[in-house]
Amino acid sequence: MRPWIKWSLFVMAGATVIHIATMWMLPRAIMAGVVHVTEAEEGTNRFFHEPLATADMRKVVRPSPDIAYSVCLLDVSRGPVRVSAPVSKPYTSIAIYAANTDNVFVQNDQQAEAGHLQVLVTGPDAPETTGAVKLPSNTGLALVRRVVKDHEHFQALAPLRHQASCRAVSDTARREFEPVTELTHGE
Amino acid sequence: MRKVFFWGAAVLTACLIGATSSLAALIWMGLANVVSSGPWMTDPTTGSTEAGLYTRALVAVKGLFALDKEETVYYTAITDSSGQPLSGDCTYRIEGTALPARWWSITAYGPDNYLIDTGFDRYSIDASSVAYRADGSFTAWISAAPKESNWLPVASGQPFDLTARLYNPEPGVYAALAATELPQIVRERCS
Repeated sequence: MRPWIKWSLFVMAGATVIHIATMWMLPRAIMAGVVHVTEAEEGTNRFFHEPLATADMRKVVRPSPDIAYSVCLLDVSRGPVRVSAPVSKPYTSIAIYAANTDNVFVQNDQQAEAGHLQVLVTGPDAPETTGAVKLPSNTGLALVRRVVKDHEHFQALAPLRHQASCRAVSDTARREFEPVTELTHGE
Repeated sequence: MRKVFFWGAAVLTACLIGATSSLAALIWMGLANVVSSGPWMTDPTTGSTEAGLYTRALVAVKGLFALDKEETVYYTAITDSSGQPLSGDCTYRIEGTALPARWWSITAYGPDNYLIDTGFDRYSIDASSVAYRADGSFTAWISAAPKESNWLPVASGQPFDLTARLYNPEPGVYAALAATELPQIVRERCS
């Protein structure tokens, strides 16, 4: 084979691999960047509450100025994490995102029980658990969204926002979410 | 030595082409599965685990943490209803009725994908704030110069785009995204 043909084939193959790798890595790298910056400031498995988005805010692209965001960086490497939040009108939701930015779970106030949204998040190596959301890796992100009508409404929501919880589940609390296999054996 | 240069140049060229083509894909290909309703565009796989390589990458760059379409549908307009790019040097009239969702908003963003600094601390119109007529329709204005009501400010001298968010859209919306009735964006005049 002529050298320039070999060269061209190599370049084409290499460019294809780099192109696909770049597109695959990009969302993961962006998520990792957000997590890295946020984790340094806020830690994991605890909620922090963002101010209303304005033109000065540059943390995440295209934020909604009408939504109060509360964020929890999830680390399920040491066990499941329970995420819960009280609801507010006209709209509240909890969304769980995987490390590749996929939205793997969402629940809104219309599905709340006793005025609260709640979800148990587990890691890829955890046993199957009824009602739990299993992340494909040990990291992810929980995002609570609340529609805010105006600045006064935003201020009034502050106490409610701080009632949101994002905590690693203790061995005692884990009994509330028995693995499917244990339930089967118990019957 | 000659071989080092030969293969070194090949690696460098492959990297350059790979990186450039990735950037071009993000800029020019846009959303892989885009659906349009007038000037409003959406991708039904945004935010979901069904998203392909390009959609996931583009959404991460332009709309990180988007929700699945059955929870929220996002439409973006970069042109007015006649197909002309949206510009802060123009005044637009938004004509429509309440969007088919439990709650909705229309937000303006600058070319850097952030909220626009106009000095007015106002960035959107929404279901809670817009003033409707008796027949349920509304007219809103998008311009750099202030309007009396239903006004969404933008900055002159730069383009902008609009994102309509429909939270808990009616089932007919995500079943037929192209058929969703969304506001007209009518260009009134430009300076």
